Amino acid sequence: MNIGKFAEENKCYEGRDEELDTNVLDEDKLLDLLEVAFQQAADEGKGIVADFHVCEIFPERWFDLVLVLRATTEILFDRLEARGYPEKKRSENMESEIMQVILDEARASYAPEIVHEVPSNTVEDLQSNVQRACSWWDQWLSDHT
Amino acid sequence: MKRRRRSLVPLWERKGCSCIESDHLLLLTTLVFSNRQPLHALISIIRIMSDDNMEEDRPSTATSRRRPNILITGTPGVGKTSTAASIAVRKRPDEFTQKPVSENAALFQLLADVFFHSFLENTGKGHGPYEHWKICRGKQML
Repeated sequence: MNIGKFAEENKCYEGRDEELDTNVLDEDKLLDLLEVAFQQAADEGKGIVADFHVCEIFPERWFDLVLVLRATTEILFDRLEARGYPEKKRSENMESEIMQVILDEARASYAPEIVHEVPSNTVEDLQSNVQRACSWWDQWLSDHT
Repeated sequence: MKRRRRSLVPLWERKGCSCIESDHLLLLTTLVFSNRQPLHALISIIRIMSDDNMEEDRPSTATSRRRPNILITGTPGVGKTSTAASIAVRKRPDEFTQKPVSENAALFQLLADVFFHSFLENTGKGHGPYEHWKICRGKQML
């Protein structure tokens, strides 16, 4: 579940920041809608793989594993530039990555044993992260059945 | 321990109450003077704002879920969507059916992954390539 897309589709925005070329998130509306979606998935016996750049707004009980992806500044700069981000938005994101803001938020918001920092610079990193998450998923299933 | 409001929309379902989060005084005034049931409106607002409507956050240790939930997070541009999509694609058979994945399906999965990763490497990162990949993959499946 791409939560950014979910928020966009459900109009979970309370305004727009033109300077940063981004929408201002309506967290309460988003969480209320997600609560229903997570409950529905649980009722149907399904798991959710969610991705979002904000992690601290979600209730802790929703997630069993939190992967914090990290990239080197050179690689991240190229990616953001390729996306055509305005300079201010790019700088803020770069600064956030350098200051490991998301990682700190994740560590402050979830139990330390479920938060894992992983590199995401190359395709090999991506494959390794996917493999790791899938192995963890299988282990979780075997532990809970 | 974090606390969050359980719900801001329990009774009114946001009908005509778009200001509910931002300005409770305005909401109170609006509802009390315009609603047919001002007392009901007042009670609703007290309930919403009450501490009883807050829940303590807690880890998912005693979960009753049959499948786990994973959050992939990070700064924009680190590859969250690609990673989450790849995990979801790999675990999809597990999520939707209990049948083992056939050899052909596993081979197809491997080819799809290689194609996806090559595509990412050649065209850049972000949501666009994955969407394109999904379309390509959908055509292959057809």
